Amino acid sequence: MSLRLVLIEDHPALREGLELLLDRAGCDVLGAAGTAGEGEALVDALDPDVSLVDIRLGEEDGIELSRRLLGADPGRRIMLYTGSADEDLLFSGLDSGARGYALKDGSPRELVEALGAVARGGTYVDPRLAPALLSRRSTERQPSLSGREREVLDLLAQGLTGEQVAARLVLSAETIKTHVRNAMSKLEAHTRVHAIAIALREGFISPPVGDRG
Amino acid sequence: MAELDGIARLRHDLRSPLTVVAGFAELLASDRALSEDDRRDYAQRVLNAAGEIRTLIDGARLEPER
Repeated sequence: MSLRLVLIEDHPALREGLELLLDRAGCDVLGAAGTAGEGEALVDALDPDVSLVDIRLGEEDGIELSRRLLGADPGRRIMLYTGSADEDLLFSGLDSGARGYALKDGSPRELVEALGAVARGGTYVDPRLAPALLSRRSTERQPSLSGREREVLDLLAQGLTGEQVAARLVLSAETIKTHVRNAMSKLEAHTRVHAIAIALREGFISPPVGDRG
Repeated sequence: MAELDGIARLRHDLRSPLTVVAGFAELLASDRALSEDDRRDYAQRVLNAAGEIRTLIDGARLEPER
């Protein structure tokens, strides 16, 4: 079944281009909006598998929109989309509860794969952000993660869902949840994606295979 | 500082049209089955985005003179 998505991007040519490119890649673009208000109405009305939200929507803020969308329904899957590799913006975005963070530097193919991972309940942080994340490694406290916690976060970072990680490691879904909860607590992360981002930054896990370099 | 902000803003503003250029150029290069109409449409999108990039760079060059 094709991926049902809503696109919220203020740049008209990019919005129309993404609609076309994502449609050609097999996605079902249910609707596209250029403002936060229009986008919120579309997500409310269409209930997509995933929403792609530009962080800078003219004078409006896509991170604030993500917060509002998830405040109304925490089960929604949001992929933030930006041209900026700014580290503070990344953490602010992940704090909003968005499950994905993609850069405009990525190819349409990468974006479709990332959207698919998030729609299936996985997580995604653009691998190009790894150097920025790693730059803080030597300046911050490094809590210790167990080998199993690292393994679980590593698989989640590759886009696997909790259920898929459980199957891969031959553990129960509940055990995986416990490992994620413990890792989040140790890393002082607010969300699962936030924990993955911190684990990448601290060097506990590596960027997903195939995306390095 | 203001100049740095201007550069940061320019770098950000360039991303959207650059993404259009890269996306459609990749499509034009990889899909040999495109119809002539589609090929023309996509090439025009690349040209429009390139025009926008040129305008942004020209605007940035004028910035210090203001």
